[in-house]
Order: sequence, then structure tokens, then C-alpha cells
Amino acid sequence: MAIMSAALLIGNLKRKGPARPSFFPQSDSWKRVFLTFLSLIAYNLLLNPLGFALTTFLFVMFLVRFIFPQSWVRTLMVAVLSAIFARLLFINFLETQLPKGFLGF
Amino acid sequence: MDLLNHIALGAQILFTPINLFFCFIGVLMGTLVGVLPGLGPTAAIALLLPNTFHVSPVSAIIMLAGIYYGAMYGGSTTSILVNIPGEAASVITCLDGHQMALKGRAGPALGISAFGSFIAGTVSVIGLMLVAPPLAKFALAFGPPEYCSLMLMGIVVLIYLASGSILKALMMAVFGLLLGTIGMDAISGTQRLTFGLLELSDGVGLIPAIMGLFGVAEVIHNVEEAIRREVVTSKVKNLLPNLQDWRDSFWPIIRGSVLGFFIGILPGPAPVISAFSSYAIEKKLSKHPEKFGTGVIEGVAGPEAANNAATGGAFIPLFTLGIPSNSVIAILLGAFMIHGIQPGPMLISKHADLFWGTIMSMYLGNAMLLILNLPLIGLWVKVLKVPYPILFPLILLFCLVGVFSLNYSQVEVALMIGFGVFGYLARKFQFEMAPLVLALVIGPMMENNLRLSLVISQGSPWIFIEHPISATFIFISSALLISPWIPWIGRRRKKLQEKVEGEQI
Repeated sequence: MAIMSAALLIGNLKRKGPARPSFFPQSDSWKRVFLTFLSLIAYNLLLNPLGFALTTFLFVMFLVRFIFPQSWVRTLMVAVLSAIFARLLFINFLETQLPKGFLGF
Repeated sequence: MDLLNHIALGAQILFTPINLFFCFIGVLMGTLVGVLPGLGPTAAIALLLPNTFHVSPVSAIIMLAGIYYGAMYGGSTTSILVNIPGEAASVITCLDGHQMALKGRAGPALGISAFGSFIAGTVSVIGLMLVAPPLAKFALAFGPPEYCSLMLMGIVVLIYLASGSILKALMMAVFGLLLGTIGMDAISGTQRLTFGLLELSDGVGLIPAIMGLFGVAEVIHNVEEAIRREVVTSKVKNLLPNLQDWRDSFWPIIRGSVLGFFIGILPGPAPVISAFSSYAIEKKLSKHPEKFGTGVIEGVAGPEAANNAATGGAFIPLFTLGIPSNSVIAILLGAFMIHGIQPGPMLISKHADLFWGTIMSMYLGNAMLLILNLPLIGLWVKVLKVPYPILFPLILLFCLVGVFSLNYSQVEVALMIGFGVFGYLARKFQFEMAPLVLALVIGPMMENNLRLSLVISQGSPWIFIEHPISATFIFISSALLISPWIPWIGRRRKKLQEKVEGEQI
């Protein structure tokens, strides 16, 4: 199977496809893509030490504020609401066991 | 009156408050994710799967199935009002549906797509009810070699139907099979390619893979550029199509239902393909083909009926053979296994309550959807107005929590992010995700059957050809793989591809 996929890879590289559209549609796209991935990784790392609610708050705040910049008022509102709502939904209603972190919520 | 007894059994199971509740939640969620672009039924089912662990399997399957066909209803709303398909399957609805909306006929367009979906949904459930039990009996004759060849055929058909290059689809399928070999060897119990990670000994999780490939990758793709959405803001009224509309769309709906049902049985992104082919057929049969694309009601009714019917058809391989035909069904299969139900030809007789309960719930669910979608259309329009900058962090959040809560493992979250990166890049180079997911699911099953067959035949590979059913499957799949090299068939496939251009899974 490994041989087959290697053969396919070589075959594919040899073939010349039609010209592809440029990789990113907008010049600053890569920043947004990169930042979003970074925040996903950060969420995974911070989840245990900081606890679910706090991490969620930071995550949503960061994304809303920096990917497509929104006003701070709106950002904070969305972040606080989603943290509280997610906390109620997942922990209280669906009884998911999520890490509580050092603050205990 | 075997059938009536079964129907009574199904109704008995369905009409308990808890199952009615889950059916309702399912269709509601389905409509919601259908309406929201960038979050499909695949991701939604994967998301809710961990939360069904503490309910009974019947309720869980009823809810998850509801999401699947509910999404087909919701998707059309977005297509008609915003001209962005809420679902891959409703791409084609944009063509005529949005034109109708621009002409101020958004009401009838939404109405006919809901009614068409309802009729088609019912037709396909009846079909499922009639076809599945006999087929399951037939499948009892299958042994490991037959299963192995059948799965091979499934993958090959999917590759053949791929919208892009066959080579790329083949590569994705092989990559999926490779990923499927990770984990503990089912027969000898050795660890393969786990790199000492305990989390990988059970194989690469399907849910993290799907959430990454469909959820995260889709969001990242949308983050690239700010999308502006123009919702048709004029009041949606006159939801009931008039008599002329009905006359125009009656036959398209019937044709779409039958077509969709049969395409649904085939592996692949059936709702998408059936919607496209229904559109093509209606255009060919129409007395005024030149009007298609300018807002004719047939162009909405047929495809919408077809994509709904396809969801019913897609359940057939699941219930009779235990083989998934697309990624949504693959997750449902995962749900069966998590709840300790062994899918396969024995399922209908062993778990009659599950099968008939689900079927009855599909009848009722379709009726519920009709109610949800017609009077409450205003609500869904409001949902559409939530701006994407606020929506996408929430979608990502759901993906993260969903995967984490599955096993409380950070390795799996990391895996999902990894698949997200991979899916994003692969999408850039026009690789399709469907063969990868199917191969990842089927790979381990196929391997087990392959090795069991070889044990039976004491190592001789000829067993696949000596068994007649298996030989037929092998023959069909090799014919499909060779056919693109035969010039005139290859050309026809190209034509088909051009027709379904723009299709994205």
C-alpha cells in the first residue's frame, strides 16, 4: 500500500495540472488562517490549567476581536455570553466532564 | 400481516415522550445546521454523538437520523434566500430558487421545497421499509469474502463518482486505508503505528477526523475572506404554492423522489449527486429548458425532492449490510457500535425495535419538519442574520468541546486540529474528503474480512473469485477502475463532470 501511494504521488507530481488560482484569495488571508489555527492549539493547551469557562471566554474573545475585528463592546458581550451559555449547556445540562481549572468554575 | 405488526411496533416505540422529544430535537438541530452555511450534518452529528451516550440507543439513532434529513430541509432555505448553499446538497437549489426569491416569489419557492422534501422523504421511507428487510435476508448469505469485495466495490464506486481527478480520489482513499491500519491489530493483537500513544491503540478516531476535515477545515476556509451575505429581506409571504405551481412541480417531485432513492443506495455523497441529476433530467424533459436558471419552480422542486429521498436510500446499506455509504452514515455506524449494536444483516431481526422505531420516526420527523419550516420560516431567516465573525468562533468551540468530551483526551483534540490543517490544505489542491473518510471507516472492517477470508481459504487469494457473488463485485470494481482509460467512456464521464461542476463536499 505504501508503494502504491508513493507511485501515485510521483505520478501526480509528473502530471501538470491547469494553473491554480493563487493560494490565498486576499493578501492578509494567511494571517487569519494562521491565527485561527494558533488559537485552536492554544485552547487545547490551556484547557486543563485554566478551566473550561475561562478558556472559552479567552478563545471566543480572541477570535471575535482579531479575525474580523469587531468593536470591544460587542466582543466582550459575545465572549461573556458564550462562556456562560456553553458552561450551562455542557456542564449543567449535558453533564459533560470538562476540566474546571484552578478557579473552580 | 407482518408489515402492519412491525409498523405497530415502531409506533409503539416512537410514541413515548422521550423518543418524541429526541426526534424533535434531531430535526430542529438538523434544520439549524442546514440553515447555517459552513456547518453540515456530518459535523453536527459528530458533535452530538458524545452527548447521546447516556440515552437509549433507539433515542440516539432517532435523533441523529433526524439531523441528517432535517439538514436537507434547512439547506434549501439558505440557498433560496441568500444564494449560498447551506448544504452541499442544495447547491443546485440556488440556481432557480434564488432567482425566484429575487422575483418576489420566495414564498412559493420555500413552500414547494418543503412540500417536495416532505413527499420525497415519505416516499423514500416507504422504499426503505419495503426494500431493506428482503435485502437483509439476501445479505445473510454473505461471508467474509463477499463483504470484503463489497466494501472494495463501495470504495471504488465512490472514487469513480468523485468530482475531481480519479487519481486524487484514489490517493485519498489509499491514505484513508493507511490511517485505518493504525491501532491494535484485530487478529493478532499487536500494536501498529501507534508510536506508544495509548490513545491511538484504538485506531484513529473517526469523530476527530471528521470534525477536523469537515468542521475545522470548512471554518478555516471561510475565514480566509470576509463573506458578505445578502439576505432577501422582503417579507416572505404566500408560502403555499398555487395550483399552477403544483401542476408544474408534481412530476418533478415524483421523479426526483424515485431517482434520489436509488442514487441514495449507492456509496458517495448521494444527496448532492441526486440533486444534480434531478436538475439535469428536469431540464431535459422540460418543454422550456431555456427558462431554467431564471427561476422556474421545477428547478427547485425536483432537486429538493431528490436530495431528501437520497437520505432515505442511504440508510439501506447501513441497515442491511452494516456498510456506510457516506460520511454521515459512517458516523451513525459509529453510533451503533458505541451503543453496542452490531450492524449487519442481523440488525433488522435482532433489533427490530431500533429499525422500525427509526423508520416510524422518519415519517413523523418529516411531518415535524414541514411544520418547523413553513410557519417558522421567519425564525430561520433571523438565524441567517447572525454575522459570521460572531458565528465561527462558536462553531470552532463546539468542535473542540465535542471532540474533547468524547474521551476527555487532548491527544484527540490535537488530532482534530491536525486533520483540520490537512483538510484545509487538501481542499486547496482539490482533493476530496469523502473517499478518505469512507476508507478510514471501512478500512479496518475490510481488513478483518480480508484476513478472515484468507484464513478460510488457507492463504489462497482465489477465494474472492471462486465465490460467485464476490466475483461479481470484484468484476464490477475492476471494470469501473479500468473504464476511464477506454476513450469513449472516459469522455462521457468528463461530460458528466462538467455538468456537476462546482460541486463541493
